[in-house]
Amino acid sequence: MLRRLLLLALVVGVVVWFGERRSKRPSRIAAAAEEGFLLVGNGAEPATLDLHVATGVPENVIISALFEGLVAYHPSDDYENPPGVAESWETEDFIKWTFHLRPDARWSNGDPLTAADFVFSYRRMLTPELGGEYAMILHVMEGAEQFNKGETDDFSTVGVKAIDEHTLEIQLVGPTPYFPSLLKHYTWFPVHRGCIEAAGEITDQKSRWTRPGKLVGNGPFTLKTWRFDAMIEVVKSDTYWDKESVSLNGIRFFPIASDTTEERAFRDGQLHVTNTLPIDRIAYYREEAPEYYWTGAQLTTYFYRVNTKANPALADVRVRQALALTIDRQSIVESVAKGGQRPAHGLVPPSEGGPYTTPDLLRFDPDAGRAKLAEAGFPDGEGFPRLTILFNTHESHKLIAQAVQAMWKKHLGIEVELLNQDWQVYLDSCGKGNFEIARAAWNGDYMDPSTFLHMWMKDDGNNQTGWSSPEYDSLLRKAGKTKDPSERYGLLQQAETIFLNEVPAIPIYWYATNRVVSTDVEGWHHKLLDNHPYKALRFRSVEAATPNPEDDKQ
Amino acid sequence: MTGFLLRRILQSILVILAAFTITFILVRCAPGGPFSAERVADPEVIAQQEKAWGLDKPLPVQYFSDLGRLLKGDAGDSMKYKGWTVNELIADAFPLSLTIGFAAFLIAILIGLPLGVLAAVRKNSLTDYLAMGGSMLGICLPTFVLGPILALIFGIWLNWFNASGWYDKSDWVLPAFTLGLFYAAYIARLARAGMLDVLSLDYIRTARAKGLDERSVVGKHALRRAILPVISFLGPAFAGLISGSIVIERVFQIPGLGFHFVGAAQNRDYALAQGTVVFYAILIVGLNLVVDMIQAWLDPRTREGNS
Repeated sequence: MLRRLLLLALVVGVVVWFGERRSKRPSRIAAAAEEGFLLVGNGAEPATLDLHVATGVPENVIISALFEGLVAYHPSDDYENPPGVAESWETEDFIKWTFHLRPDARWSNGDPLTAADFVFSYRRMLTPELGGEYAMILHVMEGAEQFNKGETDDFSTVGVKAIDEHTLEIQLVGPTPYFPSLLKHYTWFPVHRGCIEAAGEITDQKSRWTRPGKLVGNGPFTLKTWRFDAMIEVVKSDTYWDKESVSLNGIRFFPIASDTTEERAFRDGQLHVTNTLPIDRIAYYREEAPEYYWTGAQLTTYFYRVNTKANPALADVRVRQALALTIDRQSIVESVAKGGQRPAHGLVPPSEGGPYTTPDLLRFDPDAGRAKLAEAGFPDGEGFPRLTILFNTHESHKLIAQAVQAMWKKHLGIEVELLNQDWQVYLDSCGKGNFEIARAAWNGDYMDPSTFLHMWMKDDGNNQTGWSSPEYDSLLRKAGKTKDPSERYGLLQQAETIFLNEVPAIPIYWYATNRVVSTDVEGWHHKLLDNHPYKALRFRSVEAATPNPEDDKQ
Repeated sequence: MTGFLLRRILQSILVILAAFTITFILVRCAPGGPFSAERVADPEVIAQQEKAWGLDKPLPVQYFSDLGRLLKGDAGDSMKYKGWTVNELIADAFPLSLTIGFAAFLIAILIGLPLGVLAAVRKNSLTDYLAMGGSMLGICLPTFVLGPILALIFGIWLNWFNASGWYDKSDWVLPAFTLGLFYAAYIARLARAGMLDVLSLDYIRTARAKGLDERSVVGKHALRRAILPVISFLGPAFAGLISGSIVIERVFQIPGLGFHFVGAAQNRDYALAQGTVVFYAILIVGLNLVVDMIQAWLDPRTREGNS
């Protein structure tokens, strides 16, 4: 008996000793802040760091630490265009733009960064053999689309020229007043020719030039470590022209895919900044720990695409209007989505202080909806075909589809079925037009309504509704030739109004970002496009640092 | 013996070849493709990408070129993670899955076996009820529930371990326990049942009648036979444990092999899907081959039975 008791005491003693020792470890964020390192949750492992091949958000988050374009990100205002590699620029007609590059701009290996580097970069991006998915963003340049489509292999036909080492001239297809804002997209950033050529063919998508030790960038940070699916580490660059403004010594990005795991990692003191926040934790942070909670509008629209070719009923504009009129967006946002989203009254997400006003047209009006359906020949839903809503398998998409199903049943008396498919199968169905109504979302790439409107032109691969309107297309084309910004916005507004009256896709809500940020971090602001200039971030002094939310509770 | 060996090796090669062929066909039959995306790219762009990965060639050509590469030990280039080879991705992920899987395997045996034996020896006592109730709970509690609970208690409240991540030497503990406890519960029930069967046999009665103390009756005579069902469970369990678990990897943020298994299929990353399946097939078939050889060496009847 005594032996057993002794053994038990020993085990308990070891456990207590171990626990005491372990629990006194400093948190990872405190240790990292001491070294000047920011720890960031990045949502997913980047598919590539080659900015001519990249297409996604997790890639953007890291690329923007390693590279910088002609125009830089502003810490808080999406509409501001602070100078980046270009010190200044001028244009007379919004078609021909001249950029003056700063003479002290350097690559991370010390090479001077010149106008020729930009010409090389745009050439690589547009070379058809590279197969760059985002090359179409460069199609605003004169001759870019023709070169990209292989209609010519003479790059001198493309409107980009190095006038001298520090002067870059870009000729566009038409007046583009928002061009500086477009230049903040990573497809316009420069790449280092020598570093890409050293790794093989410049058009090789699988090129390994983006590995640590090989990658040469021009951003505030350089790539130090890349452990697949575990961590990417960047450290402050010695050659960056504005290195005096860079306060952080480095950033570590963690590709945490599960939002609940990420939030737990934040509570465990492993992250300064998360990528997102689980919906069921939003209320807690909003009420109990608002000092960590960051939320705000995002430039993304959630909508239901209607396949007007699938079904004669859906080809009838009155039916589509009836469907749009009977979705109670407010209630979906408040009781189903619950993440600070805004009910969509139009297609283009409105931005505070922005120059464009989204038409305020979408309404929840069940009586008007019923009347429209009756007008179309289906009074109280009689004789209406059974529709199916397609969505990619995800809990929140399912809940929203169920809510819409109930609303249409209640207000229109129509039966709707739900069909969920695995992501790839869903993409295949949408691409082939094998759907009647399909859930979708669209992310804006730059601060201009055209990023939401162009896709609905006839023959655009992303339209997928079978709907087209010659008037809509001609308004957008006209806007593309209009110099005066307010006149141009007026044309875009007219186009959006046509879209909202014909509703080939039914906007439901505008997304919001939700995340938590450690109070040790200074200089964090909400951004519509969620691109944050890391050089604007710094740590509050370590003494003033506040503890973790978990510690507050104890 | 040599003939038997040759036959077994040949069979193994056929199994691996079949695994590769089935994967090759299945991933290509599934709707979608490695280069489809929500934002639809121009068809010319997709054609360029397919060309870069050889997907523009006829299927038989793709099949034999993939096979030829695999024979040289090269599983090709990932289609989702551009610039990474499948070999690199597996080589990075497998050691982690092996570490956690092996630890979970040991935890399962070290907890499950004694618990099961104890429950059988003290049948219908409080110990038995507690052990079996606990193991029932362990079987019913899915890893995606147990994992976050352990992370919350030992990671966040007690701060003994990191709640997730792969940073320091002790980061295997929570995922290995989460994974191991389920298997421990299963082993405990198997061991208890096996032990109860054996304890009622005549030779145990004889051993007791000869005046042997209970400890050597159970430990020496009964245990060997009682753990036979456990051992036949351990083979597949071990293979399952080291191939990684997507749930554990997502809960604890571990860059293991389970992510590639599931992710490659979801992303239609043909090369990665083929690579992981063939890798796993080689692992399983290789382990089986070793077991068979040991058995044949121990027991000539196995050899004769096969010839």
